[in-house]
Amino acid sequence: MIEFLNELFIPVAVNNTRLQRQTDDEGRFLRLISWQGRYGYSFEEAQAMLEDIDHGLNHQGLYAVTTEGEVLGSRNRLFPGGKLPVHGVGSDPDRFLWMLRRALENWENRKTQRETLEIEDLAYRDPTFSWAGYPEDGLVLHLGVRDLPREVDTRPAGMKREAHNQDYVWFRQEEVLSMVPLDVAVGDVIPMSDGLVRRLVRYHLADYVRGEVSSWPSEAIRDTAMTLKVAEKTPEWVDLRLFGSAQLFSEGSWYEGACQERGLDASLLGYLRFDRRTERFVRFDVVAVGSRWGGTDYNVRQDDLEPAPIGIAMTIAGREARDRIAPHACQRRGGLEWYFNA
Amino acid sequence: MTPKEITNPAPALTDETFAALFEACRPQKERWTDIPWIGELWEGRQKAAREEKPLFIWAMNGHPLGCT
Repeated sequence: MIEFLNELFIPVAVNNTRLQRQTDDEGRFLRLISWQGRYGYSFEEAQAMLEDIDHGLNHQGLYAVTTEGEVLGSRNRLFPGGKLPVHGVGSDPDRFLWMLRRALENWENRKTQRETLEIEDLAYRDPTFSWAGYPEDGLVLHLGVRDLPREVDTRPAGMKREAHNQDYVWFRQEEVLSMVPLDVAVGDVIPMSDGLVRRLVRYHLADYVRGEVSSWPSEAIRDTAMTLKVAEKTPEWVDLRLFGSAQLFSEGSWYEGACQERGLDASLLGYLRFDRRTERFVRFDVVAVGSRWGGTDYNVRQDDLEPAPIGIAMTIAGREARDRIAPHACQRRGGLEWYFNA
Repeated sequence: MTPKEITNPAPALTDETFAALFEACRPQKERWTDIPWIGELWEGRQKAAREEKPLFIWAMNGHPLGCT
């Protein structure tokens, strides 16, 4: 299936959260597709709905389309305005492959993109959801999060045990340098700045094992501390150990009648190496382990609310294009400044 | 904070357990990452137009290549 996608399609992975409300041609293009592919409107009907960004409907899905937005195949298709799947292929790989093959048949009979086109660059990009701020000279961590084995497993039989998720963590260059003062000596203990601690705790020590979750509000931090201890120093590098803890708790009404709170109680440990010549970290391996409980709107914990162990690991991200994805916590209006000023 | 009875204690995080916990939790290599995903819709649309190919779009709440 991977070769099939690579050879016969142009594969694109995009953030629907912003595109479904984006007031530019890129957002309109996504809505043109999803009104057809997810909600069953015709190409012409969908074209008349492109300016509506207050629709309150979800436009996420898997779509095969022409450059001009004619849908050739889709997953997650719903009745217009409804919630019943028409021909959703779910996560069944055979049905998914069938959908792709059907899309290629439809490609042969397409009404649009009958010849090579020149698509101009966007003349206007909606700045509302601009998260362009990849810290070229700073530090980017790749984070993984998953449930850890349990002594008592009360999760429903059908619940996926091996669920996991990922995210990216961004630090600007000045924040990196603040972690390793020039004159440090072996044995020194360096407290991490309040801003960095709050960013790590509020945005990255969260239970999004089973799906995205809203960040911790500021008042959810009940107690937290993070320090760096200089373990070794040479002319070339400084080795540090990270020690930390975090207790978070907040109340809400995420699952009516079932869940009124969520919490996390975790400890952290890390091994870091700072290259003094390049002024960059070459190792930044951190683990957070603890208990989480409760759930929120989207993280599918309604049948798994009791305290259970969770693990989070961070390490320096790769240099591929996908490693430039912005941290999930940025995904709100003005999100980048909100992220860097936790 | 509401006291909670812990029936499923988290493992101890020590120098001895660090490596195993790090490997268990860090992002793992997955087959879907072998696909050369384009992360911006407009860029993908331009490429599809140039190459006369259909687009395959994976649109999720949250970025599919990050946290969804």
